[in-house]
Amino acid sequence: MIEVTSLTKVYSSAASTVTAVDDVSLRIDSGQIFGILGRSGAGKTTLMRCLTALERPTSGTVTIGELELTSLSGAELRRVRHTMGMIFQHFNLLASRTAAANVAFPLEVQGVPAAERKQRVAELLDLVGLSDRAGNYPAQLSGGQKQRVGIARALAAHPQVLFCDEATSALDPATTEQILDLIAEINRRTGVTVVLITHESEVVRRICSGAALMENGRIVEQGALLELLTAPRSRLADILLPVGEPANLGAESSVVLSFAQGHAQEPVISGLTRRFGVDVSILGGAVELIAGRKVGRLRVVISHPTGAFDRAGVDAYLAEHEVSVQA
Amino acid sequence: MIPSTSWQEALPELLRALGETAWMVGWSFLITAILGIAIGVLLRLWAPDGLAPNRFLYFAVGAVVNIARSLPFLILMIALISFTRLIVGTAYGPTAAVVPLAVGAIPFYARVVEAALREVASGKLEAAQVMGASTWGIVRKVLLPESLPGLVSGATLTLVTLIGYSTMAGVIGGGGVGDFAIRYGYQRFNGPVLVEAVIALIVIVQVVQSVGDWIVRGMGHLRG
Repeated sequence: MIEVTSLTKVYSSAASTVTAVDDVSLRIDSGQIFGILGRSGAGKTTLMRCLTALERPTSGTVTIGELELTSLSGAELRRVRHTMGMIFQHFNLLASRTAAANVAFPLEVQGVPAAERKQRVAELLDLVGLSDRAGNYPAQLSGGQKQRVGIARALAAHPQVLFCDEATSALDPATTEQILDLIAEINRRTGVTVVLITHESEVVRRICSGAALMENGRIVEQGALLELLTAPRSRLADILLPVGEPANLGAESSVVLSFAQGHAQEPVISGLTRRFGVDVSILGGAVELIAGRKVGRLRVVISHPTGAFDRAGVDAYLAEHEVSVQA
Repeated sequence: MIPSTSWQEALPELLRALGETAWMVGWSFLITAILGIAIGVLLRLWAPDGLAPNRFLYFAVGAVVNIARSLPFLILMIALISFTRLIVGTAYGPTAAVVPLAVGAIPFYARVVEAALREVASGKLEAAQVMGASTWGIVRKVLLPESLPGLVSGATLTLVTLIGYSTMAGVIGGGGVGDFAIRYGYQRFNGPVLVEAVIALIVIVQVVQSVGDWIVRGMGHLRG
């Protein structure tokens, strides 16, 4: 488990003071794929640099497993880092090493004997589907292949946490999907906790089970994704499953229905019209497969030809089908 | 009037002079490569954005490097006469010339090394840090191998510069091809023999440069 408590990072120079991370507290359970979504400049990168101890926070603590990172010194910190893997937007592979030698790097650093190293490297290249590229240099690989080597390298030393820093932002959409699916598959197979930062909502939508939204250095929302999507006035829900703004749609009386408990495929709406004789007009909405569940949000206007209808009954019916209603 | 020496007659002496040049340039290049890389690496590590920032050492060593580089080689060589005598026992001859040549070239190459190391993307260093590599591990496994093309082309440049400096060393008794050219070309106005020396130097510099370029080209995969 990763726990961040009141983390603040301030950069001061003679000219100005910038609070890149502002009093952030975060809890990431083991085995999760946790996404931190935010625009560039939101402080995601600084937050991740604090999580990997590349940056010392101004105040606050970062605890990974049992260890509090900010209290560790050089040698202890290097040992903790042996339990971390990280992949990067620009891959950061060593141009002077072949794919296999890049994957072997963390094993060399940890003093793993050569024979064992060789076997583990072969295993990893097979895992990421690049066995036939072992002898190629990064310059001879495509972006997607480079990131696969990056993933193999990050996993080499059996990390407990895999950090992904905008890992798919430099890749085309099809390659992005392949890499995300690979990360999800590795998470399933090895149980490694994945913490990723991204500005692409698609990344969170596709593989995350937990998420946080970051703005101006602060965490605005965080939690299990399925719960967030049905929470009232959730910003993340609006980003991941946009239903349009009521003012733009010319219907202030509209409500947002969120289906997150597996009922997205059930005919809840036609049931509603049959049972209560109401009209349901859909103004906007989205249905996506999120965290392995079909989740939908619809902006609708519920009305009745006579003007009045059994609103309490409608609410009860929707609640019974685990559909949440928000104004 | 003594008949002037023909270029054929001067050839054995030219070859001996070239041998002396090779001796002083070879040793000074070896020392420069080792100490230049060492100082360049330290400057990169001590820099404000380096892996082991140390403001005092960075500026102190940087200042010494700059002072040494701002002296014209001829002046440096004369200024170092007592120092050379202390180390080699004499201030004359090719071996003595190694001292000022190395002292003149080390700061130059150190700056070239520092600049080449600066070209290594900081992300690669951070990747190595997150994998738990020590500073020494990062120098050995990331900084130096990743900047190899820059280190080699810088070394080629340094070697050509050393050949040039070595001819100046000839002026104050270092021997070598510079001494040869002064004696024939300047003191005896023997044009053909001077041309012979000039051609030899051109050929040597061309060969050095081509070999250096060829080695860098062989590392093509590093530029990606």
